[in-house]
Amino acid sequence: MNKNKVFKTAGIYIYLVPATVLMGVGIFIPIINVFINSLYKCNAVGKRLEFVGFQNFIKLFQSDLFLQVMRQTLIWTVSMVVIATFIALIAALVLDRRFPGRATARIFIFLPWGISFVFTSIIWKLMYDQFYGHVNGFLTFIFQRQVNIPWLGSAQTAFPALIWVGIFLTIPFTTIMILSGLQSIPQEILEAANIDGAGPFQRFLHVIFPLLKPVLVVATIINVIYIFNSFPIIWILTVGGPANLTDTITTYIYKLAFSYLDMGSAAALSVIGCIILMSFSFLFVILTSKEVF
Amino acid sequence: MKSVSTNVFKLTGYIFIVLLVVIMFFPYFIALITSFKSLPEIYTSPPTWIPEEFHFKNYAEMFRALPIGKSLFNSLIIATGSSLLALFCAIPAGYVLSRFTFPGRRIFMYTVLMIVMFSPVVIIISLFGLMNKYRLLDTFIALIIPNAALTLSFCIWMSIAFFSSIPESLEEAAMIDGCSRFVALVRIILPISLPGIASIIVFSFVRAWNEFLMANTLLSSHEKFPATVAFYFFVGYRGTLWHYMCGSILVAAVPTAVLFLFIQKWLVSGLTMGAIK
Repeated sequence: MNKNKVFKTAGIYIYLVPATVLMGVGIFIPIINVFINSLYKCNAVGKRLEFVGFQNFIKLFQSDLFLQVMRQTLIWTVSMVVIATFIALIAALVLDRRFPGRATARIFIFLPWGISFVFTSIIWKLMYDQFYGHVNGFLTFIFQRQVNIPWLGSAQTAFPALIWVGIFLTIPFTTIMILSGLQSIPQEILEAANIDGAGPFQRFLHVIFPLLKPVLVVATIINVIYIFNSFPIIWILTVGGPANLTDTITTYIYKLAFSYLDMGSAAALSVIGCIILMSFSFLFVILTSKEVF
Repeated sequence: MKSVSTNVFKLTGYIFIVLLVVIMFFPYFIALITSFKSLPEIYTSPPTWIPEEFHFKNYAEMFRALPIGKSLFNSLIIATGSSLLALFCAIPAGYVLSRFTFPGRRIFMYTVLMIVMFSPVVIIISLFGLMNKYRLLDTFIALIIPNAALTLSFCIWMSIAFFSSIPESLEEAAMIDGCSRFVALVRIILPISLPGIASIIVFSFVRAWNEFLMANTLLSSHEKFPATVAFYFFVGYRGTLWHYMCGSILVAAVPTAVLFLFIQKWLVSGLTMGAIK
């Protein structure tokens, strides 16, 4: 890379001004604003009224819903990431080989990625409908008797139903990432293993998997961070219900702010969410900046 | 020589992929067939898999029944504004970051990388408060700025990658002939980095097109809603016009999905750059 020129005039910094201004206005100022607001009592539009220190945080931690929401967020994150990565790994391994129809398969598997979570969730809302939905329709066909599970309305099934949609939407990206990781494994290593008599399982365990670990770690971190973007899935399918059983940090912040009008707790939870987000982003930076700089 | 276990392996893998493809495509297949059904047929239990009659005119009717065209147009405004703003900020930044070292370069790069994966959910209340304070609530600007900012990081990343692949000799040759660096950038480098520019525009555009949270929070006039929010509102609890909804989802989603598929190569190489040895 061309790193050797040091440009002495200030002209160069001008090229960075638009980007800096945009990031400042669009991201950093709002972040600082929410951190400060979390220490104040605020009105419904976020205007600071009086300094209350950590009261907002204490109030938040003491609410019953907080622990429930954190627990649900954890379950949501872990199950989504683990299951999606597992499926994506197998898919990538198969897609790495040539077979007829491979290009078409790739297109279909990657399809949900470019489509908004909103649009896909709306379709799933229809599919999960108790009477007119296709999930029940399919099960009715399989079991040859009327199946009318209220997927989105029942306490037991709502969360798994949403998690499945989340997994569905995470598989495409994870598959692409693992696939590109697989494709960068040098052929010679695999061939050497073949010559040494390793069967497909052993090849995978001792050669492929160790080399894939960096990619898997990065993909996992990206997926965890991306959980924060799953607001539309929950909002459209169950609005965090029934009875807050499908609320995660994302929807709970929104409800605290705009439904319960508890701006203080909303700010506190936003700060917590921000810290979690930044921690994982930091991990991401550490892991990916080795080669780049 | 292929052993039996290898063949069984391959067959299982193949079956797995076929199943996965079917599952991935299933919702969109459902949307497709539902868009051709009549409303009474949709509200039958259990649902039919092939429409009894193909009501192709649903696609024309839906634009009259619901303000779908308007919402798509709103999406277009927001997405275009965001992508152009992101482009305008990312290109110069990527250019100098790829060509020079200077004090602060490292910090800048690290900062950019830190917010690549940022999510608006943790600042949505700030955005609401700030936009309210500056009387920007219910405007398109209020959406264009944050959308552009959120995609900027990745756009700068892509921009650096693209400029790095263009040799410096090109603008040096132009500058020897007397033009300034800026003119060299605009006249010579930009025309040949069109694939990079296209990727940046498409990425930012699709992200803004698909965005829901900020649009839902920062807009209040129904006639300003982009497709994502508008469709959310059209879905009531009973009486949803599913045939129109499915049709409009396909109209709204398919073009951007196709665009996105074209550029996914560059996106993934950017994200995996550091992870792969």
